[in-house]
Amino acid sequence: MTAAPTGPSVAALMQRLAGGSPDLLDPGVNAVALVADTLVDTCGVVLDRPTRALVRTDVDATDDARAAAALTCWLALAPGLRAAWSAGPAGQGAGAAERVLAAVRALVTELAPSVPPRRWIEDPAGREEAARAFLRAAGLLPAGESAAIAQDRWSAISTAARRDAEREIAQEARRTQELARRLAEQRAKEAVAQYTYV
Amino acid sequence: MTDQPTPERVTAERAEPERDLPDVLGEYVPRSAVALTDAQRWPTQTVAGERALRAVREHPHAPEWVHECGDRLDAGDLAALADLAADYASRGDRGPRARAGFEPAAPPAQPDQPEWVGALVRRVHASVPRYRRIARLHGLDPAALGPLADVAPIGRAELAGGAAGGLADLVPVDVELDRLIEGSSSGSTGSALVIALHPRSVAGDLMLLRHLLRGVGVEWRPEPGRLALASVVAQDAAFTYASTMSAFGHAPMARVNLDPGGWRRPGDREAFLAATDPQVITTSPWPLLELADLDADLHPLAVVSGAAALTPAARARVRDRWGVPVLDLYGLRETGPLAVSTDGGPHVLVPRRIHVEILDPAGTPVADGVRGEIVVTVDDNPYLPLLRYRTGDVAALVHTPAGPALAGLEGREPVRLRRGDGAWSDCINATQLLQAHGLLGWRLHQLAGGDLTLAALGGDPAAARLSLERLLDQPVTVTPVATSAGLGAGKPRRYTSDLPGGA
Repeated sequence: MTAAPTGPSVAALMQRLAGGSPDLLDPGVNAVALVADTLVDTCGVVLDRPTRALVRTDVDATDDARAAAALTCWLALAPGLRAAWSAGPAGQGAGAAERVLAAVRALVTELAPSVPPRRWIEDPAGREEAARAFLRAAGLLPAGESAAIAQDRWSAISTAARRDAEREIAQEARRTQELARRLAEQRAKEAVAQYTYV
Repeated sequence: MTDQPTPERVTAERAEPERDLPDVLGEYVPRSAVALTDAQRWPTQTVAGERALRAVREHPHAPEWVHECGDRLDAGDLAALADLAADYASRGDRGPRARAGFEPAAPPAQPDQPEWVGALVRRVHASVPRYRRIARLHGLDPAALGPLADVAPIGRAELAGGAAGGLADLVPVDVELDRLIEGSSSGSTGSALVIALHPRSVAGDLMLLRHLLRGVGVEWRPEPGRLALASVVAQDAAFTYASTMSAFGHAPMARVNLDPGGWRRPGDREAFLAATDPQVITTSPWPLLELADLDADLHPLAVVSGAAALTPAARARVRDRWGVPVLDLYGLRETGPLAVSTDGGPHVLVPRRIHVEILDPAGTPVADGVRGEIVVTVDDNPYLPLLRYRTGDVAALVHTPAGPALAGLEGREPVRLRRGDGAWSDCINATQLLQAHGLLGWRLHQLAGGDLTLAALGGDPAAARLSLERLLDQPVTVTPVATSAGLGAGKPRRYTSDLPGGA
């Protein structure tokens, strides 16, 4: 398992989000074109037709999806990342284009439904979650953080992770009760014939 | 097969004489745990199967059946088991060899993990509460996992506590519980574990047995008029029942107790066994020795012993008595069968979805040929997938022509014996000596002062005592015992110690 390359710090990305133009939240934004331009700008990759269709499915689904895609592109174009996409660690391993597209997909389909993009700009917790979600999805470690610390802080801030955990824990509690009930039933009590002694 | 399933009918209650059992054995009161109808016990029962079952249940020399249970297999199970049987048959008679991860004649014995293990690691971390919790805690993505070495081993302690404790923590959340059957694993120490069984997995043992018997040249097919299988115990109180094996042509089987108290009249035991002449006998060493001494004309195709080590002398006794293959099957109730010895040599891993590692006390894999704890990963029972389950048993993994095998297998919680000079001696050394003196079974206990007591069944106890004294430089008191009962009840431990650090 090779360590993830290091990207900008969370603070730097939060600062960039805080300075993002409200125009990025405009529902009329052409998110697909924005993603295509970002790929060209960051790593010189032209979006092919099939990939463009896939991107469209994600980013054109709702107003929030378009806004999330625009804000993700805004992060991808951060000064601390631009050089890294083409020549630095972020461009190695999984290619830079794949990293950018993975970030777009994650923030649009996973984060935006639980944390509206407006909060990525206006709310400090929303800013941090979006910044960390971006770095995770792009396979980058926040500058100044080890993998373990980045994971800890992600778990602490992540709305989706918290919801998933709560859902899992509730399911497990129900399951424990169901298992106890099933084992208490007579049909479970009557053994099956055994063939071996082990 | 022209037989049709029989219509559902409730089992007729038959008057049973009361047995005078202690309160603690109340569960053995006849039919106290009976809950189902015959149609629920054998959902695919045939007319011929029911006829065979009735013949065994109502045999004039039958024991007092204390229980009733079937195999619970439905049509889907039978189809899956037929596939499993075909898979085994396609292996021919190459003997035991693991289905995955082992190539014939390809040392080292401790192989890289087979492909299915990585998939199991991912599935378990996504569906089993204990591992989901670990994934949540450490932010692991189950889909990105795979290497078994990253998984911490677990043992009986993690399974303890019943449904509300360890078991619920290990049963996947995405498996329907409607086929769940409670099982238990007593082990040789500690209290019994509650485990969750699936009828299909239990019946898989039968397919495995057929395959293993084929490997020693025995073609096992149901034979009218005979029990296809007798499961034999010898204890004061035990569940006994007659059943049919849906995945084996609905052939009859029975679980019988050699204890005289379980039979209606003197002579019934011998007469019943001779009349039903079981094709395959599955048992454990002490009942097996009792059975070998019984005056009953039996013609088994093979004998399968489990639960405790079968000594070379006991194996020889059985071979002399019936002249048929003797399989010593090793496994745990929670893991199912793991390895088999057909010749008294190392126990060859059986071809199930098992992956065996030998680990040192720190959990690090040891080199081939080095003794350590047997740790097993099993993907067979949908209710209890196990990742790196510590068996508590000790062996070395070696390569044999039949495949990877466990050499020098010793039961759970191996005991160290202290020599007169204060050094420790692995109990495997004593095992080799006691076997060399022909003992059928034994119980060797070291007292706090270092003295030893040896209860010895068969062989040459006096010579065994001298050898032990030379090995350990400690006084040994030997007590020859006439029957296995003298070695203790239940599944006796061969070694015990009062010394700190001994056990």
